[in-house]
Amino acid sequence: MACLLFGCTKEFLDRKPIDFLAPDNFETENDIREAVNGIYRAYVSDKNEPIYTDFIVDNGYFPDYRDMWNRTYNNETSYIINKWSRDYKVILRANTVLAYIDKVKLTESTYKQYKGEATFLRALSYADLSFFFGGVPMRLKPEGLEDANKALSSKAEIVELVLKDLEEAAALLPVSYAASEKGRATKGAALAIKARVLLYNKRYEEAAAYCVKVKALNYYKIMPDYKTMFLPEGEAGNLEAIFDMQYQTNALPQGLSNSWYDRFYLFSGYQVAHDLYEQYYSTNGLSITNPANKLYNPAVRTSDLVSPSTYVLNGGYDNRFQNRDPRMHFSIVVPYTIDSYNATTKAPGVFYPTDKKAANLTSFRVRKYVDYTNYNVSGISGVNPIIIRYADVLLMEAEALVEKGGYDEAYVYSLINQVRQRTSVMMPKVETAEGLGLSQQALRNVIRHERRVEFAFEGLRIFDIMRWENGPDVYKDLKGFNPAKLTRFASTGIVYEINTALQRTPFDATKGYLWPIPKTETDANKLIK
Amino acid sequence: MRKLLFIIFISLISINTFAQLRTITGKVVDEQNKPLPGVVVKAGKANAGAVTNLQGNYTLSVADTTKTLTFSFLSYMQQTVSINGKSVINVTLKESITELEEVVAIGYGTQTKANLTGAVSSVSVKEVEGRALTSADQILQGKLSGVTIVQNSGRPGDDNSEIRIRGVSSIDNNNDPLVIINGVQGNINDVNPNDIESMSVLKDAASAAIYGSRASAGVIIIETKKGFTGKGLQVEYNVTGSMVDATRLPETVDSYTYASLLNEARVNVALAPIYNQTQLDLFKSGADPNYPNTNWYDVYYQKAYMQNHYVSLRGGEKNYKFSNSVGYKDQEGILVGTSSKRLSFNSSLSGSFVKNKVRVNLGLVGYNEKGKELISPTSTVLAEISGSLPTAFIQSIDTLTGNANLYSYPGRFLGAMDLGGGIENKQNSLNSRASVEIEPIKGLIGKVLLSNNKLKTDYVNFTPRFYTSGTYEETSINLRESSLEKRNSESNLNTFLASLEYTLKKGKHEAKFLAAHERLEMIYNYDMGSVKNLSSNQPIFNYGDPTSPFLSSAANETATASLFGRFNYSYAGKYLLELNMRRDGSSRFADGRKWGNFPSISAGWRISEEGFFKGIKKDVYLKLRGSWGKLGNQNIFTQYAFADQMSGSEYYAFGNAIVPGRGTIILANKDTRWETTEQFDAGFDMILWNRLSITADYFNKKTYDILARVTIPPSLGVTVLPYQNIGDMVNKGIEMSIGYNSPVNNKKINYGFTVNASYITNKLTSLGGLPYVDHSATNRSVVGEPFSSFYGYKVDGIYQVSDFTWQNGSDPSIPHASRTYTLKAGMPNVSGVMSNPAPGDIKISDVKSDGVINADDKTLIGNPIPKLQYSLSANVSYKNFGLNVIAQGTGRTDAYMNGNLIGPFFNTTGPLLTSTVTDRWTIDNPSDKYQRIYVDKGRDALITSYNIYNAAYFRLKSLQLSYTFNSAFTRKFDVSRCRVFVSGENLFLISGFPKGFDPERRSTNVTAAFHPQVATYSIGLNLNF
Repeated sequence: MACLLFGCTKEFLDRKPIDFLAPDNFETENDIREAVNGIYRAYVSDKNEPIYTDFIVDNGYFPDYRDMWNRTYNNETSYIINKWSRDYKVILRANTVLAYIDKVKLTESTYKQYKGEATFLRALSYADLSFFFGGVPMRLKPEGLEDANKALSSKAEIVELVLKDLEEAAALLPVSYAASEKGRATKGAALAIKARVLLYNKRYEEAAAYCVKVKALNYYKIMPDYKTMFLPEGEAGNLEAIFDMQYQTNALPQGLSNSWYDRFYLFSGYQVAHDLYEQYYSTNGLSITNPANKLYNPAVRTSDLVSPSTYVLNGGYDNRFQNRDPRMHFSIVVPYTIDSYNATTKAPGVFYPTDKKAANLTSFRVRKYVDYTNYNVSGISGVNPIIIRYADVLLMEAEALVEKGGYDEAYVYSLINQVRQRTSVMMPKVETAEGLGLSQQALRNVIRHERRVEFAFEGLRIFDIMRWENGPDVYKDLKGFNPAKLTRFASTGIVYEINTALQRTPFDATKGYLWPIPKTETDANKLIK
Repeated sequence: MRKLLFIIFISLISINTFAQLRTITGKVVDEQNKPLPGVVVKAGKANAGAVTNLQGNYTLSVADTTKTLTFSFLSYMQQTVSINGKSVINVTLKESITELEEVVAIGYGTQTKANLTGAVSSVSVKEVEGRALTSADQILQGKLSGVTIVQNSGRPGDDNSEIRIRGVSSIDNNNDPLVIINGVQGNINDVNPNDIESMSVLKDAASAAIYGSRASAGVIIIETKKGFTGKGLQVEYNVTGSMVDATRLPETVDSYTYASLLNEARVNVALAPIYNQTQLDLFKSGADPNYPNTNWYDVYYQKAYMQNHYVSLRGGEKNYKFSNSVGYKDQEGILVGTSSKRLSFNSSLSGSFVKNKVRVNLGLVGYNEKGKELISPTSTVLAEISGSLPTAFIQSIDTLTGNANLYSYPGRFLGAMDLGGGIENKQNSLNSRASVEIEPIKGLIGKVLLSNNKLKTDYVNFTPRFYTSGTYEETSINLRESSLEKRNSESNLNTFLASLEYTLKKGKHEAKFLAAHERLEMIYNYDMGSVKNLSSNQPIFNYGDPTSPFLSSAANETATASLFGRFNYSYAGKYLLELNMRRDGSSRFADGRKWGNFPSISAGWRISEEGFFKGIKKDVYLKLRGSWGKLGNQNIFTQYAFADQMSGSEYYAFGNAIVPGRGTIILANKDTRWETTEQFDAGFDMILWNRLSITADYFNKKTYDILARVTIPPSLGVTVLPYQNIGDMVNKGIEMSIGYNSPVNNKKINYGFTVNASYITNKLTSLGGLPYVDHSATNRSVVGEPFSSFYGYKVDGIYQVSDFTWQNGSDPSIPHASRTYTLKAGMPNVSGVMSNPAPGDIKISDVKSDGVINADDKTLIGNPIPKLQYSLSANVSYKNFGLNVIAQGTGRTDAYMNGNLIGPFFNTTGPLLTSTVTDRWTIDNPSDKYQRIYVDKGRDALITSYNIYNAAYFRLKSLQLSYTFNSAFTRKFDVSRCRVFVSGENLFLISGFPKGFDPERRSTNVTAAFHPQVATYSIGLNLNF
């Protein structure tokens, strides 16, 4: 009663959080484990990543990204702020785990795993920041309002931190997990990302060496089926993906489904550039713009355009779309091919560029990641965007060797051929298509071309452009088949007219490739000028 | 001694027996013609007399010599009537006009009006009878100065108002006043308006300081009706039937006009027209279902009906009093598919023991409400309606499957409703309280109060499976999966109060002491669950896809502990002084920041009591008042400002199985402390000739340490900005209230009126060194300017043809449509914000005069906080008729509205207002006020003063005409009083606000999609037994 009346005020006012646990109160393995899971969540918190960057370079276009595509962005452009925020969100959560993990009693293997995962994810984010922004503030522990001001570290310092963290993570992490833990960071992921950071920083010899270390794990392989590698159905046995984002079909309330299906199918705004369409060679390994390519037939057949049942996925009725690199039909939707299925009858629907819903500027849409089994339900896609896969390791090694110079030609060819000759692709070997004894420049071009068609819409193109510094060549106007001229009915004839759909601001070399540090940062962080 | 008195008494009687006697009878009623029992009627200067019975009747024998009768009754004005040989004298007693003796509820007690030293306004709730009010706050609207009340919307269950007392004082946190119901913190929505006995508003810091850390936005004190003694058992029944309609609805164009103008708008920005003449003709003829003409406002809005019943039973005897009432409201919404049913009750019981030295009070106030909405929250539906095109169909049939559950996107809410879907919201509120008072010696009162306010909510959203498609004949249709979501929450507010009060009177000195300890504890729990893909159209989780369940919970607690005291002193009723002190501790803050002290002082001088004043004028009452005090605000964003807040819903999926995750989303700020408001108030109360009363106040309210969300570097890793105590703000104002009541005369027209007005200015004085803080895309607070002003480009009219050059040296023979317009040299370059400007476009002002229009030219373009507010209420009665009127208005207020509807073809697709069409700029109608129509997302995104509207208005809030039957007639049916009335709410509006939109709206609402206010037309009946 005395307590009820006047005493115990201190206890009465001492209320601890109920529906969340502040990090100071971490006690159990579970607390750390969930904090580690939370880092991965932060990594997927921007659902544009990493695919959207292909729509700000030469592979495509999307109206909302226009300022990025045109490079008329500034330090207030939302996509720039989003990337910065996403990466630092990951860093804060990783730092929280690293700061509190020693306070919790863990077995040695779990301790190593959690510490390795946090270290890996922090490195991944600092690497991303260094690619896009150069030098950035380096925060190595969870910091609060009192630490708001932090000067920039140089890009070299950030890269050193990333390489050190990845080396440590590779030592701590296991090569693989049980199926129920698939998606966690592995030793291979740390080594492969390290190879990528080294390559992007032009440290070719080390880059090639780390590619070899990944291969030496003897765990990864080129998957035979290109198509299913990007769909939920291919996730389980995918030994090519080294690190990927984990989404789940139909997990909307948990925020774990993405919208790539909706964006590419239900909306019409995501458009593929004619330039990318052109990059897909004929199955003889020759470009369609190469006059020597006798397999490519630009004449249009109109007589077969009768009913949807005659359309096949590979655009069979149209000569232009036949005998092309199979990756074209796996990656993009060309006119008059099947691009939908009715929600109730499952009857196939056909992509008519003239239709209102499908109206885009180029008459090409994206097929990679489109899981037609979603049957027109929005926002439930479980597609896992891949961050790094084995084909990339092979092509990185090839690139590193060629850039370093003094390479074994046959060995480099064999690396590229492994990618070209996966069962479902089977494009001719480099020696068959291009011949032997290629110059360093010619071989460099072969590798660059291979990366473009192999990794379309995987968010890698922007890094390639940034390190090859070929902006003036690749930032071009958006071209496509004029949809207004592609009529729905054969009787009126089909006209393919390439038009300039959108004009791009000329490439400004003085602006460089790096993005500006967001204004929200420079406004509040007094130590950045 | 006793014997002696007895003898004197007997002898007096015997003297009278010998005088000539006559009998006078009569009836005493109040102004509402209600009989007044218990009125003392005395003859001449006699000590004894008669008392009126329950029907208000009296019989008195008086001596011939007696010339007058005096009627007196507590809180009514004493009346003396000449007999003049009459034998029947009926009297209407009027309540004390000065109301000086009226007791006003103040914090933790009561005070007579005469002795108040702070700025306290109270509302007479008499006019509530017969108004079709749906929530208690509507009583305050139009009745007080310095109090802004904006009705939220006309949606059933969401008609609570936004109440601001003397402006806004917090930036991102709570600006709602504290509401005290029967001594316990509550929600204004907890009470049935019919149950309210009195409402007072504590406006100045000294009056509110006793509530310390909860009172910085002012306090509203509500007392509900209690039982009484001496009037027997009284039963009251009120019934009202109402028809409800939107005050204003936007008028949109038909599909033919829409389609033709879309072509025009596209051509204006060099895009190809969409519709050809054949298609336009089809829209006009309406023969083809592929070319529909849908008015979505007709589809989704309706006239609605409402009924309200109220029964009460009150009474008491010497040692106990009771009051019970039940109200029932059945309200249909003007938006199809929305409704609210509410059963409310109020019960109070009090008893006294041990010669009235121990008093026990028990009370229950509660309600049970069931609201219905369409499958999406009403705000979503409204946004959809305001963006839906007349060219969209409502329902179609899937040509491939014959499935009829195929709806257009805007028609989907109707579709889901037809299939049994919707939101059902239940609320159960129960406030229970018990208190014991002990008065061991006269003047010393000890009191203990315990209470629990419980609110349970229960939300069910069932969405059936159906299909949508974009066009009437669409082959590829979208499946909308069925889903079921349930949410439950419970909040408990526990209060414990112990107080000791002592009153001391000695000669001309009167002093009162109060000391108290209070504890408040708020405990909140919330659970939700959902499933998808139900196998049966029933709101049962078991029917859902077993892989789809999702669960989530939230819970938090806060506590406040306080010690406080008050000292009142008055000398000869002339000099008044009050001191308050409150010390509050809050669990929300870190150790070291938990406690805050909130003192206040106020004083009054009844100057009219001074000898020198009485010499000047007899019928004058004048009191000067002054006060200063400090208040706090702890009602901030988080329950745990001292801890890094981790979200527990950071799920991730490994191996296609979802696992829980955590991550910091809000950084701790251990420095977070109380927001503090200091307020100075000076005022006077004057009453002249017992008829005219004037109250005026000046106040200066300064808030500092305001918690605001200011930018932190995103490199800290959180995107939700933490609050920091950095802002200072000042509200200054004057408020005035003038009232007049005519002398009572049963034969003539009686009338009274009150006019209120207030003028408040707001200024943000500091942001801890920052020049400004942004609240949204449209609102920015700049130091030195009013809080949260609109920020964007200023527009100087419309570009005209004369501002441009075109081909061939501006050859006038080239038709308008073929010209390529270029702005003349010397005109500011606007290309950075608007591509290809042409005649008819808005002309953006080059504020910085540097020849280029860019982000630097953005400036403050409007102040959404009204400075001037006024209201008028009047009542007129003649014989049995009564008329009550309430009107209110605001002066210049800037409202920003953009988005669908108000912006033509907003985001390239919005519908069109009829007014936009009539006034638009064309080459033949070169308007300088209205722009041309266009299709351009970039232009739609510009925030400019073109979209600022003056939301000043004057509105007839309430009008009521009543007739009370003569009681002589009604008593034949055992009815003591019978009154019928017709009334209307929101009947009439004067405003320059755009047609179709109601200017009474929250300033934060910057789109045209909001629930319309409603006009209510009612008839009703009041019966008393």
